[in-house]
Amino acid sequence: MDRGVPRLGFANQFALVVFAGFAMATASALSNRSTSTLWIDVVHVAMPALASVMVIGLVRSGILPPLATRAFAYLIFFSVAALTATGFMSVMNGLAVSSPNPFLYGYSFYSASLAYLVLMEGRSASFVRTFDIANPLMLATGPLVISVASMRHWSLRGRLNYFFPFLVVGVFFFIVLGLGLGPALAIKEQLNLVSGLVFGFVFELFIYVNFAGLSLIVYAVAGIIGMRVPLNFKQPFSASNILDFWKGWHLSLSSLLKELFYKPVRARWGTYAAVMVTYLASASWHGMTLNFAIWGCLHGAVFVASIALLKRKHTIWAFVIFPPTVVIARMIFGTPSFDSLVAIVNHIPTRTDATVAAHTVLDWSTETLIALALSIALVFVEYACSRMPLVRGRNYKFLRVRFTQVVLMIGIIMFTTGRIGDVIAAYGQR
Amino acid sequence: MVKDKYVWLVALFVAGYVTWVTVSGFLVPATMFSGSVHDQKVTRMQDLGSVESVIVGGSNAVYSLSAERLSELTGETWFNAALPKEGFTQENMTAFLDDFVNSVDGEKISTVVVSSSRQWHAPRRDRPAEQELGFDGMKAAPFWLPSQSLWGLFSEPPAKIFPTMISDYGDLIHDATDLCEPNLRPVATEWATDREIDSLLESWLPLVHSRFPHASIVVTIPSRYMVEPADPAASGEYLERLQARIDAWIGAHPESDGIQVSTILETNYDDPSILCTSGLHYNAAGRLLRTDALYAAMIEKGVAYVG
Repeated sequence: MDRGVPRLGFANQFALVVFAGFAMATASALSNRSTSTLWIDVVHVAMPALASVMVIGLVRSGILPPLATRAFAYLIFFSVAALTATGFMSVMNGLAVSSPNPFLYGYSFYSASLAYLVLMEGRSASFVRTFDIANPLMLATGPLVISVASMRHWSLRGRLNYFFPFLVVGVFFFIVLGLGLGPALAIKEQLNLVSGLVFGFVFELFIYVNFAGLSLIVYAVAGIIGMRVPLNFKQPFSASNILDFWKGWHLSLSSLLKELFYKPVRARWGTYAAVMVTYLASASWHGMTLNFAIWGCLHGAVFVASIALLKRKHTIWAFVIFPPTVVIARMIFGTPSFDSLVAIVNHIPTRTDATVAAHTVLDWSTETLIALALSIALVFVEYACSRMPLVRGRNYKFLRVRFTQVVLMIGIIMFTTGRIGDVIAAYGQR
Repeated sequence: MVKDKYVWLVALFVAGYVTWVTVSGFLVPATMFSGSVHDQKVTRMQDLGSVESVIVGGSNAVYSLSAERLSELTGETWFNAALPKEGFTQENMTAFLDDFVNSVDGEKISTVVVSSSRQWHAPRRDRPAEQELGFDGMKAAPFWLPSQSLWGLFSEPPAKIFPTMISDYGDLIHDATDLCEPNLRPVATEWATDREIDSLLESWLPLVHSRFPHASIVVTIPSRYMVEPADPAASGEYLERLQARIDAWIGAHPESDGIQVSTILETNYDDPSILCTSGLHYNAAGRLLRTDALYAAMIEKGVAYVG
């Protein structure tokens, strides 16, 4: 341990992130000649910090008895659902790329983190947690702040050596694969089942590379500046059933939902009820729409069915229902409205639909087709090589070895272009 | 030792990426006609002396109006500051005119001709408000991403490098490159709706008035190639409607007090030999015809004088 290296505390880390954020926002505003929008960045930083301080102050004050504190935690969590139901906040279907209301920027993320904090720590919640709950780096990208640790025992060189490869992987996912796949999502305009399923498939890949890419970037940047945040994605496709899949997908939200819903409900009504309640709570957090409710019910039902199948050792059947569930659920998740979903389902697939969908795919740009091929290859390697030493740990080690790092770096320089797709955090900012 | 090698690898990667991001910005604009027109007009603007009148608008004015000819006719110095697709976005056009007033004294501009094809109805013609498009109509890359992929540079046909095709007056030099591939399709004939007119006025009047506060603004209805002559009654009705919307706009914008806006309905032609690429894009002969007719109409309206 190198004690001679000065360490950064949480407050300094927060200040560093805020400073870097403002510097980037200023550079971007100046290059776009729109400096008048800079005040919005100030609001984006100030509101989450203010809300966090107020909530933590309230629970620390002891005004709320223990039961009311628990109720307060759930109230905070479901406030997102109420805001989407009343139209104050947009839903999170992976396509709403920014918060329409600057005062609610990142609300769904820091409110969920606060709910978790209130429930788990109650009166002992520390004001220091404001620095990670309101961390702009997290709010802009999507991973929830459920546990952040300081890495005081790592030297800067050590942190760089360990975390930079994650940064390269994240950048490759986010800008090479994510930007490349972005234009392909326009196929959602074709309201038929064939195109809908193509959309579901591509959208699943897009959400994965976009959100996992950003999460890896956050994981790496936070690690380099001295904060250890949980790895939000762990090779979700190194799975042979839906249970395994969720052990690698958006883990910060899964961990939070587990404490808020799964554990308490399971203690009273058993596993199956706990699973369904957890998925419906997750659906409501994404937005109060019928599409999300159907998405939650579908995932919950398949999860329950998979548990039952695995108990009976029917691993093949648990695998067979896994990929179609992921694709169909993502199609439902990303379809803009219930009416559109009804139109898709009611439209009996025809050969023409298939031809049109095929032509649409073939018309995608070279960059998009390359990104699609590479994303499919990534998923294939995650699954097919899941028992190999470099893949088994589900921490992207196969992408962090020197050879693949060189390949990814070359790929970033070869295929990155800022003129296709949108630089968006599919799961961030709302 | 291995870790030290990785540091060098990272340094090499970062240096390579930054270099490519920087270089790619210089390679892309020359590959598209509209981007190249913008770049060359900006270059011409930097060498401008005194300018007294300006043409703004879209590609119809790029191809079919001549600032040089108007300079000869009026005795004033004109500059053609029109851009293909009107710069694609309002932000682009604003930035372009800001570049222009950095080169000339906007307060000394006496006449601005606004020539836009948005006077005809077209579905989805509204200017994209949210999209960040470049002057070549493609999505503008954020400063930290390359403007094109290295793969694209090698895999696609060699980029077309346009020769000098913008004159000192900002006019298109038709024979500088093989631009003209005549398309005899007549252009749209359905007049713009009130909402579309309002959108057009909102795009141009505040922008022009703020940059050229003392200029008399001429909103012209561009000349078109038409096989069948336009219905004069419908044209007259549209001209009245346009003027009424302008009056309503001025009434609703007290800050525009003193703004002078007149309208002109230009002459249409049925001679396909004057066309360059479409019914709104004339060749050099057609541009001379249209510019002379516009000048005559401006004289008639009292917004230009014999030089």
